[in-house]
Amino acid sequence: MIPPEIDVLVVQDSPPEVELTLRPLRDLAPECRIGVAQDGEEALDYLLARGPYRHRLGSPLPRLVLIDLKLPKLDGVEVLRALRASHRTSSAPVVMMVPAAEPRELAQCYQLGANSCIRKPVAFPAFYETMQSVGRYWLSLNEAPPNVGAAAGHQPILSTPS
Amino acid sequence: MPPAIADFLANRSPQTIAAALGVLLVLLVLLAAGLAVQLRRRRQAEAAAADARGHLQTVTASMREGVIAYDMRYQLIFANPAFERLTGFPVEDLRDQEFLQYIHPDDRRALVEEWDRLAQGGSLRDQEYRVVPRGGQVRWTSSSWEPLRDEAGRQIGYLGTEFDITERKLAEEAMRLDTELFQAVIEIQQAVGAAGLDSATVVRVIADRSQWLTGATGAVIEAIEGDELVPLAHIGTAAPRLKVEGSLSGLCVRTGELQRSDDVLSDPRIEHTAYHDLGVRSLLVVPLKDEQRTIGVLKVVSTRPAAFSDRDAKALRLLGGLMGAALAHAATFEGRQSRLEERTRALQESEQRFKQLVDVAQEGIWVADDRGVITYVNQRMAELLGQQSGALLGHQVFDFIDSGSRALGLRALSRPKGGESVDLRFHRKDGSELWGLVSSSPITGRDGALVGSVGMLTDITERKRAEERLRRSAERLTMLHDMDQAVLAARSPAEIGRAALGRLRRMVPCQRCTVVIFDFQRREARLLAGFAGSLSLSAAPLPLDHLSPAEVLRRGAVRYIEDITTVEAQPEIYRRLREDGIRSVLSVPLLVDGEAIGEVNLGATSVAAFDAEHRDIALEIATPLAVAIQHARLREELARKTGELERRLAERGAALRAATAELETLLYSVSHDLRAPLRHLSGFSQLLVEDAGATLDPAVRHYAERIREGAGRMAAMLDDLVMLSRVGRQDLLRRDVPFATLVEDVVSQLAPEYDGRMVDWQIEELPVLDCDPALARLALRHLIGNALKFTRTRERAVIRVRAVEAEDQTAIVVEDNGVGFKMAYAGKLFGVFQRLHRSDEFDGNGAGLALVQRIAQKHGGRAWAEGEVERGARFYITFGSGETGRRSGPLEPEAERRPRAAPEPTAAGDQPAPSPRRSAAPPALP
Repeated sequence: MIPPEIDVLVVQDSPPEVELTLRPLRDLAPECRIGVAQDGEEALDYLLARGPYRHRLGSPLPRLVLIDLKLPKLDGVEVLRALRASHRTSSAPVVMMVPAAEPRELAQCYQLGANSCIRKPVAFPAFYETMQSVGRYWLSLNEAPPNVGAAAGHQPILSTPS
Repeated sequence: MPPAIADFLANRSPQTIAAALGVLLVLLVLLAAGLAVQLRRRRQAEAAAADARGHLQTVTASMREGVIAYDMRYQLIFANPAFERLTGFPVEDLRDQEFLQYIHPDDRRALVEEWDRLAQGGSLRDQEYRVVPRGGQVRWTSSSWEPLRDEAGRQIGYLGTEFDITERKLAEEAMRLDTELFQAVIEIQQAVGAAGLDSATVVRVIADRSQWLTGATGAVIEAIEGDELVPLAHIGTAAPRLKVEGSLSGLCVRTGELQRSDDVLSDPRIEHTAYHDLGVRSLLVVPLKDEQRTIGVLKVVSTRPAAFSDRDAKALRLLGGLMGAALAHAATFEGRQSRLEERTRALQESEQRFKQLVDVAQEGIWVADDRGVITYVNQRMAELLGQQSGALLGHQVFDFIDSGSRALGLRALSRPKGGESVDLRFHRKDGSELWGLVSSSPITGRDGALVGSVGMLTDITERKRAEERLRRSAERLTMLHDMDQAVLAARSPAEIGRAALGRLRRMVPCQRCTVVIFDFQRREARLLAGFAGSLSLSAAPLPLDHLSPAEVLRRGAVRYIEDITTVEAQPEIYRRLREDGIRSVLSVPLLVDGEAIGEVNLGATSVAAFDAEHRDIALEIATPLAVAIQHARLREELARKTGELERRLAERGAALRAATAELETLLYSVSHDLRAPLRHLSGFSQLLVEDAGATLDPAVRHYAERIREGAGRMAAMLDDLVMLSRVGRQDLLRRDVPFATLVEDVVSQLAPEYDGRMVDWQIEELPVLDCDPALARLALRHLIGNALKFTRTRERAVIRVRAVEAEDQTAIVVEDNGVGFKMAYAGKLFGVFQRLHRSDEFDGNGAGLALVQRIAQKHGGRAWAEGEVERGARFYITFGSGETGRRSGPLEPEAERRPRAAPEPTAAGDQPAPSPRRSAAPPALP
């Protein structure tokens, strides 16, 4: 189960991928609370507070939702579509992780209301750097909407950008 | 740009310029379109005329009739040899002549007035006019004019057929005169009878008729009184008494012979004073004789010199001979009224002479009573009808006239005034036909009541046949022309067969006709088209030997069986034909290059129904028909094969597309799905080194490093694969791409790569090509990037970019003075991940040129390379001709081409690379 209040929700099914994604974020902000949804349905249940996560109703949303494009069951695009269709999550900050910059997929993501799209570099050093940049931006620089993380009473995770 | 235009442009607003250019463009387009249409029409017309000339030449070469053709602009297209003979002009001369100049001006006017009918697609038949041949006598022709059409049925000119009828015209003219003469003789005979013994009346009638028959100004009858000649009657001229001595009349009396003077004034035999006052110039005098004694003269005069012909002389002699006796007897009777018997005898004698005369005539003559019953026929009349003279007496002339002509005969011959000639068809005793030109005059008694008629019949069978031949040959010509058009109209063999039979049936009477095609391999005959009466036939294929042994059919000879019931060893088909009542059969082969492909069969219910002409017609139609059928069959075969080919091609194409799509999908998923595991290799090996770095054995560290490096290289390769896959899947967005700008941009983008190096950029004039700008940029970046890479070892790199014409397309060439390659490996260059250099010499993973090739192929073009080790390389790329493989600027020939600018070799550090000309360069692909 994902704890009810987190800073970052990573939607990713592959355990090694999760591990490699969390590493740069943890190195960046050790206190950061990170939840992992292993497929699209779990992500939606959590964010929309339904099914096993019914009791989360009223809890603040994560400051960043990182969705991998390739997911089992519902894929990333479908998750994004469902999030934007619900009033509760329509303004949640969502960053899509795309495997390669395919123009058609990028267009689709932006059209559905993704806040940002990040290409995952294959080589790890670049990937590491990318993930840290994403974390730095969304967790400290970005001013979140009212029903999200900090605005709901939490302190910023990174007080000063490193 | 010319300065005037530049000024104009400088002083106008963009809208004005655009409008002006727009108008100019529209005008140019209209002008070009107009010219093109005009030119095309003229070419079409010329081509059609040339076609028509070709067809006509073959068909008309051996015709007896003159054939001439003009185009719509009244220029001579063609004249056949017979026409050249007719007019005496070679065709080259005719070409220089005006339209219809060979026709007598008077007749030409009449023809031209009727020309409208022809110009509107109608025809002019049986036009008779005079032709003025070179230096010769005027000739008469009967002609038909038809519109000349091309294969599409459009009128492209006029086609005339000229048949020489001069002989007929002359014969008609002679006959008309003879008819008049005989009628006059008969009339005089009657007049003498009617006048009784009143010699004054007789004399006046003779004078009157003589003048009329000879076309004289005047006529005089003179009697001898002592040494003088005393006029008994005169018409149209004064008639003084004449001395026998010193006058032509006197000479005539003395010699008892006809005398003639063509010019009185210069005739030594005549004292011209006598005629001078009368204005007489020519004279014709015959003696009037009673028995052997000359009792006077009959004289005709004319105010024109040489007014009388031999024919006039003949007429006058006849009149004189006939009337002498009558006159003598009339004169005698006046003296001795009681000698009635003598008069009767004399008249009988005179009649006898008349009969002798008419019996030797070339014309048939008959006399009928008031009910039309024949009372007298001359020998010739009997001969013409193939009868004995006696057999005709008691019949009406209509009994011998063919039923088809009878109505016309009745109308013409019953006219009270008579005189008009008509063409009538008679049947002879032996059943053959006789065409006669017939005229008839009534005979009236003294009281003016009709007592009978006299008729004349001239044999014009030959003329009629000639006319018929002309008509038929014109029809045949039309038919052949129609055939040619049907052939060119390119229809199915069966349709062509039906069309040909339809025409053939109009020309050759038959009850059954078929076009049969042979298949010697299957030993079958297939019915292409057939008619039994007006019924269209259809039948299953027959074994060949049901028609005739295959060897016979293969030989392709004409077979004509006058009566199939008499043939021994009958082919199966004859049995069937006999059941349908067919007796005679004519088979004409369809020959293509001397090989029989089939035959045309004609069947008739009568025995020996076909003659030589029918055979000729069938042969004439068989030739174009064979060619037409062959063409149509080839066309069908071609269409079938083409269809088959297209179908197979479509199947292959579909299979190929499916395979390609599958490959693309594979490439896509490989390149994408391999990324994550690779990142894990890379990531975890690095984390291993980082997290346990200090405690790790250096060897283990090294291995981890190798894993990380391998993953890195593989990542680069995957990126290249993604790119390749994307080019394959992406839609091509073609537009005009100015390569000058494109290359300039690429060179400036690559600037970091040649930072600090000496590069001599030789960028020549480059065209505008129709291609996808982003892909073209990508290809050029790889090519120029390669050139930079492989000249790295050169102290001074020379990179030249230009355009050449290759394989009917414009190729962009990137040339360098780098390390080059062995031509033997040229084919390998463009394979994915193929490298010709060790990776420690030059970096890169060998996907760049594969991408370039992919981009070229995507455009329908090609990429290829030339090179030599250590002597540089040349890379070519074309972008397909697409629909618009054009270029904006002219390309100079290779030899004359100079670098657009000769930039100084630059060390990039001193001087910046050429800056992009446009700020809005298309985004570069990652």
